[in-house]
Amino acid sequence: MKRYSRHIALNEIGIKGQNKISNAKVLVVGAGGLGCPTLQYLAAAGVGTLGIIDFDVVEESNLQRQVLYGKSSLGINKAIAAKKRLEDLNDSISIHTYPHKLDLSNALELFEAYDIIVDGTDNFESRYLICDASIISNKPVVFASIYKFEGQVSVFNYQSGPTYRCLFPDPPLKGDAPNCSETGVIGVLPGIIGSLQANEVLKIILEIGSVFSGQLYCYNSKTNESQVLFIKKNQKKIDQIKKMLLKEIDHQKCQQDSVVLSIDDALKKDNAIFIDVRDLHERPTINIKNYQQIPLIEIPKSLDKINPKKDIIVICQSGIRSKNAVQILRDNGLKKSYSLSDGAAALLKQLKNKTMKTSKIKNVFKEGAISSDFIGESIAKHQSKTDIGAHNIFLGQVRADEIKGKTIRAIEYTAYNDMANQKFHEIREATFSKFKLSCMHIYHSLGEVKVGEICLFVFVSSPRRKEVFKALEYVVEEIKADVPVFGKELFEDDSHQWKVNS
Amino acid sequence: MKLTIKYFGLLAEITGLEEERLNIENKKIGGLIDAIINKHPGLKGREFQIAQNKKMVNKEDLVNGEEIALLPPFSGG
Repeated sequence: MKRYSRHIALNEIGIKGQNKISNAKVLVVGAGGLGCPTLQYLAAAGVGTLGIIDFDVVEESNLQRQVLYGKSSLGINKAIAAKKRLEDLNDSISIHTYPHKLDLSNALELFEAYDIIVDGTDNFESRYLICDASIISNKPVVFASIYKFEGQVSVFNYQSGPTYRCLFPDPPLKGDAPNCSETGVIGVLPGIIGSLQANEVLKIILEIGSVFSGQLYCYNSKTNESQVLFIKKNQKKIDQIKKMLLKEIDHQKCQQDSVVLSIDDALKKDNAIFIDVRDLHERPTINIKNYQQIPLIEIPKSLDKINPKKDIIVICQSGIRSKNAVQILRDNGLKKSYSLSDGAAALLKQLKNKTMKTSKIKNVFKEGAISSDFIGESIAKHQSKTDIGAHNIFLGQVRADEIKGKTIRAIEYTAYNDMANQKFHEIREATFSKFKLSCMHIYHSLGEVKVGEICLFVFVSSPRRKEVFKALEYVVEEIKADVPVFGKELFEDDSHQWKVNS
Repeated sequence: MKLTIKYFGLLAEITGLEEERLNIENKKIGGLIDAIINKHPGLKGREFQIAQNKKMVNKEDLVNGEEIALLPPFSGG
């Protein structure tokens, strides 16, 4: 945290705010003049997950303003070159690169994975796509544009505020609007405007101050003049876009069915080979038969390593890179290649579920109380599972209830063991299918458990905290209602009564 | 037909048995339960669910398993 001490010193940020920043996920579309300064400050600020999408490569004429790149980046894809520089700036954040064009087939899926979208593009096609996809996926867009000496900044679709379509309802005809390569731009201008974008992003994350929502900030670097224009929301246009775009997306999905394969369908293919096109360091690792790792960038020169007679199923992190790889493979005659619809994590989960289903029903019962050592060891065992981001634990403790003047000293548990274990198993399966969990454990005592001791231990783990809260409550309530376990409440005077769950 | 009848919790206490083998001729679960209550009058009016071969059944279901369990209200956790 030393790195962020100047942030933490601010009352408006502090440790809490810095944690918000490190939990945030920001996608920057376009790593050019605007994207470079934005990315630089967001990475330096410690934004935990940064996505960079850009199809273009670094050219010499970019170096006048695109400050993340140098001579060594020439000819390299901008997303990849930017990542290299940003990793050196801050290696405690994760940076995902998408070295291709944003289009209707990938925008929604990509936006889904992020909290805030930064528009640093330079053409209308992308701007309208970003606008429309953000409406559908309900994500705020920090927008900017530059022209010669002038820049504009706004925050669209923020807390149901106006969108880009409210400012400019429909795209101009192709060729009507120029970009930097045609008109020229003063190099420092995107530096200023991109930095303003980074500033807006951080305020959104931190929930401080005010942002340019419903406002268009205009700056002129030649005259030092600036002004704020107000934007009125055009709900009719927004609704129209929603309707139209969803239809279009459905249409595209139908067309793409032959390229994309669901995990279930992929696993049904006998003898298929799985090609993982993620970079070698990316997690989670996959353990499956007929598996090959070939990073996307190496696919074109690795075609001879792939058996053309087999079905080829391409895997990546989210189903985007795999689609690109399939395109390359099909263009090179490997017609039986398919892109896995979901990413590696989903595949892994499905594989795990499969093994779980064939695995024997576990014995959930433990004789006597569940010790705190046992609970501690369970937690320790999970430290090697680094895809987990949150555990949630329920501990049922025997309470010293007083009933008609007599106090409970212990509960003696019996169960219809086989059926109870079967039920626990069914609850496990149902929980895994309802929630995105990495793993779960249930232990229940049999025999005598004294007051103050633990009789039920439920442990759920997931990459995300929200899942574990919901999942744990579900599991515990199901156990209480459905599992044939019987508690005999023993009083201090050796009399007893049979427990009834409230 | 010879069946294993299992009793749990309070019901085991009332019958004094955890399980017993009974010769049963009833076609439906309801008739089977009546016969069991006839044998153990203490069970009359007690609340319980019935499992056949570890699956919940009701009185209208047919007797077709080897193991019947009488389960008082669950109170785990």
